[in-house]
Amino acid sequence: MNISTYALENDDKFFFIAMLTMAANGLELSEKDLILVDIEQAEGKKFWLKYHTEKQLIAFAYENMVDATWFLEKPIQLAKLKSLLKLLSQTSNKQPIVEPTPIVESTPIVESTPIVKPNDSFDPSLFLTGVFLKHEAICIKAANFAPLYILPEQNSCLTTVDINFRHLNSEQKQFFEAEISQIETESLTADDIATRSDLYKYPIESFLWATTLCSSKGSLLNGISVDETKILLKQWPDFSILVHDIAHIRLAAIMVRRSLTLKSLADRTQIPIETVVNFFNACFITQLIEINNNISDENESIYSSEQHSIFKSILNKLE
Amino acid sequence: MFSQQVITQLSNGLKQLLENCDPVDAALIATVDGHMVTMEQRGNYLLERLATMGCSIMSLGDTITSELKMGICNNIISENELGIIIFMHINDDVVLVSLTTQKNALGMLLTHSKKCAQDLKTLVN
Amino acid sequence: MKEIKLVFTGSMGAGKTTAISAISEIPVINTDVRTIGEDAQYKKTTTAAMDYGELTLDDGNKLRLYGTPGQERFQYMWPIIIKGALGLIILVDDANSHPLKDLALFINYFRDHINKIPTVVGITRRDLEQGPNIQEYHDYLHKEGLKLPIFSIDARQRDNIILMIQALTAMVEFN
Repeated sequence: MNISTYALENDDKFFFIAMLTMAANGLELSEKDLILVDIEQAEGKKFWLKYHTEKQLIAFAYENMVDATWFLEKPIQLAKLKSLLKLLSQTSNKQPIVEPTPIVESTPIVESTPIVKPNDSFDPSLFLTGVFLKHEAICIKAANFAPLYILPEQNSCLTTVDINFRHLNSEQKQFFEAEISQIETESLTADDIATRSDLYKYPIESFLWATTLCSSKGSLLNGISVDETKILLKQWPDFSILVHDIAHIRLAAIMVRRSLTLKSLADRTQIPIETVVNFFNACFITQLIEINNNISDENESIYSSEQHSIFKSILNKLE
Repeated sequence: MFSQQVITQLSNGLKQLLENCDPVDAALIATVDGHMVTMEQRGNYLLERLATMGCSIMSLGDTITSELKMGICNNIISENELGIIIFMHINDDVVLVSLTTQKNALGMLLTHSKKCAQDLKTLVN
Repeated sequence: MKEIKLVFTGSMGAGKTTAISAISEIPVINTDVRTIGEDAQYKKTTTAAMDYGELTLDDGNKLRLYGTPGQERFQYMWPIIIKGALGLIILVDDANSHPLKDLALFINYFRDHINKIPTVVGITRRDLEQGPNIQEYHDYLHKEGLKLPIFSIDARQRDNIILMIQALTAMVEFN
């Protein structure tokens, strides 16, 4: 199955690419050429009106206002993408077309994003991250770690282990690095653990972040280029609930202000590229990344180097 | 915090202060956390803010006095170019603030305010 | 000797005095008074003028830690305390009835300072299931054209206060 995209915003496009590999995992996909079209964009809408009778299009929007046969709801969620792919894989090549719509001015197909996966790319579906992205209530056992209960409805994970996300121990690190082959899962309902008083509760985000950060090992998510894709952090991650070290805080400080490639981030901060990539992956998976190829303002800093050295001496004293 | 009856009595106490001591232009009672209880004045001062500021000043006074181990802070006097303000505790919960625009009336202001605070203490305890 | 000042501000009960205590090397000098009126149901005492703590840096300079009173009626203390500050930490009590309004109050009041000095927001007493989602705080700041760090913190935890100072340091490095 080859799915290209049309008129998707950068964020959606990259997120779709990253999710697609995970969603397609385990499915037998038929030979199809499909185009995912953002019908909420003016260009996408025109494209849809012109080609929906000729080509196999998937409408992408918050609501299926064009009554499309194939529809993917915004924002992209793994579970929804997966069920769409499943549906697509179960049907024949020729799809019923929705009622003809008047053709508006012609628009050339300008965009097509082939899904190319470099050998060293990070595939979240091969790790614990993939399990979290499924948004299923589930009990996980891996790497001799206590069972972990995931309840997406409550946005929480529960386990008997008291985890300090600031200082993971080696056992916890091993768990977060676990590969899919090492993970056992059982289905779960909230009632199964409702009476347990021995469980610590954590936001799912903390686990999603930790597994991605720990298992990335310098491999970048599919579809992103280290020296071409410029990225911006939408907002600061809530480090108080996320595994982090000082390098991640420094990266966040620059990434919320400047649109830079991962390579230039590593160069500017003198942080190893592997660390930058791991941090990027974790931010991406938790939807904190914005692809932004605009050139950032390079205004002079409003702070002096003296102010920086004062803050550093405060930290030296406190740490 | 106080019944309407007590507030009326406190208000009467302030009126008495203004009657007994001509130089006093305004007086107010505020809780130690900065809420106005009641006030009386001859002029047209914005006393709501003074109530809160009076409480900050008194709490600083208490902190400084305790830091220096000087017992209890009785009052704080602010002598200014165009007048004098005195802050003092009535008890642990309420503060009396009184002011005059006469620069040479410190003695009178202090004496009458102290007496007023003492009289009012029985009402608020 | 330089004047090095960090200011903790934010809503009543958000943990400003506690946060200063967590890193101050001297017992915090506070101007706590008994709460008398409506506030008494939330907290027994409150800061009427300011809190003050200290930390001696390796070069002998003193870091002065100031806390403002939280209630709006003590607003006249805020400009006095913020003057000359090197950084600002805004704490918001998530368990208050209108925490987003509380944040807005301090952002609006200190806006000019926020444009000039690094600022971080700490959300205290967060409950996973109640109160605004952390995203709502970010959304508010985005509307105001700000991208400040927001951390859910426990003001008693020294680590959490250090995290906020680490963020301030990184902001100064990469502004």
